[in-house]
Amino acid sequence: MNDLWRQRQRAYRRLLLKYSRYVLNDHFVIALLFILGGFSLGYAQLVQNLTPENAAWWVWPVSGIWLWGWLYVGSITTLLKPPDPIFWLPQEKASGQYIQRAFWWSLWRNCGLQIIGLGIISPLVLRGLGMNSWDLLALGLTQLLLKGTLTLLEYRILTKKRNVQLATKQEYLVLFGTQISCLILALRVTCWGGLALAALCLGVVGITTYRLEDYGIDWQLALAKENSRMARLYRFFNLFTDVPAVQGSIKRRKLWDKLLPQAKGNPYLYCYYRTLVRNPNLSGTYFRLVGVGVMVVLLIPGVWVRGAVAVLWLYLVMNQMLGLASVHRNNLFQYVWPLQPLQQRKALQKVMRYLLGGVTILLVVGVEIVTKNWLLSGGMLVILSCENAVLTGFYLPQKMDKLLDTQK
Amino acid sequence: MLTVTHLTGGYSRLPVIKDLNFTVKAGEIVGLIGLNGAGKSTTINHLIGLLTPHTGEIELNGISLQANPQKYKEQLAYIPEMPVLYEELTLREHIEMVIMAYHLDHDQAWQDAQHLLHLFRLTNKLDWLPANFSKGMKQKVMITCAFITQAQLFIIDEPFLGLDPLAVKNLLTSIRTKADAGAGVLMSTHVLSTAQTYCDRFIMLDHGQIIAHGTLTDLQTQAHMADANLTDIYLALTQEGGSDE
Repeated sequence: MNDLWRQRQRAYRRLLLKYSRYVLNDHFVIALLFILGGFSLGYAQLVQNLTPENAAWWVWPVSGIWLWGWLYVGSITTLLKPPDPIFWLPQEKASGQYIQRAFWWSLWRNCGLQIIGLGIISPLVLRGLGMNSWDLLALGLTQLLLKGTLTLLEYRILTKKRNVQLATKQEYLVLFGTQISCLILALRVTCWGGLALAALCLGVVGITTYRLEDYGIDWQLALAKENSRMARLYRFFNLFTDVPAVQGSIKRRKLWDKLLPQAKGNPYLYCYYRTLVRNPNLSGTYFRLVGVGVMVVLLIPGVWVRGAVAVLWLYLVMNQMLGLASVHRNNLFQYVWPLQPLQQRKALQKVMRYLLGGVTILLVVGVEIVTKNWLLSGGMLVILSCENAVLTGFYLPQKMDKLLDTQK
Repeated sequence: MLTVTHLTGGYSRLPVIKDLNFTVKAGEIVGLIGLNGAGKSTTINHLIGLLTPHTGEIELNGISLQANPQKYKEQLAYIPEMPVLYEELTLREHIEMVIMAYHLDHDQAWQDAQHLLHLFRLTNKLDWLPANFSKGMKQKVMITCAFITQAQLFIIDEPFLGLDPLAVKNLLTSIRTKADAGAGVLMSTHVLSTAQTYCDRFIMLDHGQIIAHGTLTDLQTQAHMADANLTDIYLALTQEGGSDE
């Protein structure tokens, strides 16, 4: 079982590495650098002017919400597979040891994630709440103990008696209350108080877990949780590339039928409009990108940074929506029907122009909301419209040459 | 109509079909028969332009596939063995796609479509997505989409799989109607009894080569089996060849 765990860990790391190449593609990395840079600049400016005396009322609740929310980043990773319950039937004890290894690995990883979360919020709590290094250490330990408690509870419901499920629900409520109390205590009164309460909580859960009889793995629950976790991961990767495990079912969306253009004369255009609306991979990607883009434009400070991010975002959206060109590549009628290749290119250009046009309008509205300066918004509209024309008129045809040639 | 001359080709450098020569004339239904792996699907894939021949020519009414694929394909309609549909398009929209792809007269095409939809009991499913169709229903959609075109040549690969008996009868009637109207039909099938009844001529493949061709009488002569049915001739000729799967 130890070998099996190591094997699965290695395979899991290979999977993450494989998909990270698509996530960290050139376009996304450039956009990410700009976004992170913009956020960092804004954050630094915000924190610089803070002192405990003039700190705004929102500092401690925002820090508290951040820390509490971050507690739920990272869960137990068991790497279980559907055939396991059948093949491991004679290895009940060994499978328990496998889950223990998964628990400890997940715990260390989750603690690492908590440190990252704390690191992000630490400038705010140090300047805004007047904490010192020891206080920060205590806060960090509180966060780690709370996360440890959460992970232990997850482990328990996978491996202990079923009749503790009800008790576990009650314990989750108590834990929830304890987490909130710890963080309020730490941020408003004393970090060491929060730490003590977190330690007490961990102690109680630890002792009760130890005293509970082993049940063996709750396979149904464990597999469901692992599948759900992997599905979330695959859905994230699916934003950047086609993941075979994630092909959302087509949505009918009948209400859109009357709004969709008939596109007479160009079967590709006809098909693309409907594909965009009904294929959740494509429509979901587009709306998510638009939503995030608008949020970024609203939150990033600085006219120039905002403008640069908007320009980059348009480029990013176009590249992410290029998947439309390949969505029907396996349909043999693309090659058998007397379709004209030029029609496909024109259709793609037209659709992309509309998609980027939609993003442009929303980003400009975002800029107007933040700046309330119609000259700036107007300028942004002109710039993004020109970018749209350049991208769809020059850049897209070159990309299409590669995309459509590789399909043959 | 369709003229295939010295056709050799395959999926890689190794040829699967070798030096095929045959024709399909206007108004006739030609059955393409052979064992699994004989080269029927490979031949069809060459005829519809999915594969490029190593050597040889494929012409439809004098238009070469290699020289003018667009014009060639405008005269051709294909019904694959496994239904292939656009998951995001309804039945109605598939028909609209075909109308646009083949530049058909909209009203006439819909009139033809309505007739076929009624025949195949799909009239009330125009706004359904393919995910809601059974395999047989998907096959009927493929047949409808092919038969509303004004194609000169219909290439049909194993059309009977998944169809209920009524649909099979209606399909065969539609095929005969198209042939009577002047179209040529090349039909690949393992259902030899049906092929014998409906096909005018046969092309029998084995190991990528034509081992017999012609009417049933011609095949009886070639197999030296007077009065034999197509199944017996088929078994005799293919066992002679000693084909391995």
